[in-house]
Amino acid sequence: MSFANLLTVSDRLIRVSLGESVVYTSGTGVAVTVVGIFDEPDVTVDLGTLGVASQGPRVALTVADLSSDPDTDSASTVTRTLTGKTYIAHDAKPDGMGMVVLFLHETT
Amino acid sequence: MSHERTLIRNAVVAQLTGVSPTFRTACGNRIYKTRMGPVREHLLPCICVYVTSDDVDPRSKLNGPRELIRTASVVVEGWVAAIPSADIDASLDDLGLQIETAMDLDVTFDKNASDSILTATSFGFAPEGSRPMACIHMEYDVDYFTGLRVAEPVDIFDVAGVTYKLSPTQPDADRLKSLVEDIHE
Repeated sequence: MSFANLLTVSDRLIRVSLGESVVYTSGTGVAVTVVGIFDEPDVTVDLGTLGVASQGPRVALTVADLSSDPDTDSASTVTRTLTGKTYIAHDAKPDGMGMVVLFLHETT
Repeated sequence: MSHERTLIRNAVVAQLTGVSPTFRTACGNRIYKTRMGPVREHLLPCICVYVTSDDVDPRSKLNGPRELIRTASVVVEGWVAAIPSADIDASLDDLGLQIETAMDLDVTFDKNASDSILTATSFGFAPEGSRPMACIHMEYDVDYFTGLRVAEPVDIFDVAGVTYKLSPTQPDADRLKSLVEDIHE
């Protein structure tokens, strides 16, 4: 099995095990329901002298599933079906192998 | 007795806070006398007050009785968070205006200082958190004076004998002598 195939199989397994339903909406308003791996780790924001303790919500998605390229679509949003909370993507980090991690801000 | 810097910090926090329910800034009573970070996001907007340095004017050596002419650098640092579509720079400027107005209400901070003035303002922005966040960092020079920390030694210089000579060649017998008393009084 080639490395690319192995990675595809691994990604599928991870998505099945850890994934959840999210609605990705492009900046032009085209919404698709996809499986994403959501995470919200603690982060210390380097701001001012003291910094701020916050969370850094993010979601890993398969680029081919999406209705736009999040790397160039600066107005895309993600709604987490589990909580109904909607986020706007402020940064996108494609891994070059078909996945992308969107870094999110709460919209409310 | 607390150090004058502590009294100044306490007074600055009280002045920035105001009296509930008429708080002087959007931070309400979330104004903290601390330099311990990080700030918790759920407390935003908030302000922290702390002192970064305390300089002594060299002219203090000329004072008698001894009195130190001091300038403390008091930092007023405020944080705001906003939704992505908000004008976070305007939020920072609004908070800056509220801080400047509150600090100018009494530049002596309830007579704990002789004067104070805003010397610098800087800004920061960070996208890493769950919401866009920004910070305003304001530095104030706060002037105050301190005397000796212990009682001054008793001045026993009370009587002086003064001899006057009009020229170096004037005979000693022709000098004018005076006795000055009760100098200490």
